[in-house]
Amino acid sequence: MRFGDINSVGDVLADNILIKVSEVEVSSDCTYVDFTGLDGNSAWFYVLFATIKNPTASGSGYNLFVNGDTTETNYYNQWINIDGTSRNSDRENRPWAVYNEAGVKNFYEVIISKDPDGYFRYVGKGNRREGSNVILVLTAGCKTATISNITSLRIQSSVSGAIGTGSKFILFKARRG
Amino acid sequence: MKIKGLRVDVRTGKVEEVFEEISDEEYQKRLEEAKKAEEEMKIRELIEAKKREILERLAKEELTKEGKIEGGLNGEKSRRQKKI
Repeated sequence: MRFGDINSVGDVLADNILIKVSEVEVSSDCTYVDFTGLDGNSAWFYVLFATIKNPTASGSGYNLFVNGDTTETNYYNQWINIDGTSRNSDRENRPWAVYNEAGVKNFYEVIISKDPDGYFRYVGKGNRREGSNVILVLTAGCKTATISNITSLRIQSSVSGAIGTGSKFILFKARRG
Repeated sequence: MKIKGLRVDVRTGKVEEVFEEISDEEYQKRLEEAKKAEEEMKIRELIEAKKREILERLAKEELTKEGKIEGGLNGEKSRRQKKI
């Protein structure tokens, strides 16, 4: 069974730039990708590159959970979509860092951290849809309670199997620990 | 129902396929929430498009009344442009 191309365990690219923690290419449709064994107190900031295909017949959000807390209502997110000259925005009681309509592909960069008082936060930018329908999306999220460290991150689709084959994730850390 | 995931241990580089059991009720709940969110997004987009259309029409009417434009943005010249 092929899990995808893996090149992980802290490849140090050079001083003063991001350090790759792990990369995953999804080889069959799945619902979540867990990165475990993290140490946010050492890394300070993580950066996640993601390109996701939603192969299902339903639109799906993609939650960014921390430390195994998969209760959506323990997080809030604020997003804005810029679609041509229209702008949509909302705040929701869940940590959707990304969204994809049925069959749609996207690309995102999400910066993740824990603030000085211990609140898990992320901010992301990306785009989705194709050609003349391309839209810009900005997202920001925060957990309702504090955490003492970031030890794991999970990207989980709200619809089963919405992380399609060929989806790719690369996680970087900003600081060598 | 079992949902499939990938677990990546960044310390060892090991990636494994893992499964979590969720109840049919939970599965249906998630599906319904996703459908509801999709519907809300479509409605929001339609509302925003309509709001923009209405605002643009009103703005053009006001600017025309004020004599600043003659008919709008679609290829028709403003009074200032015509003078030039």
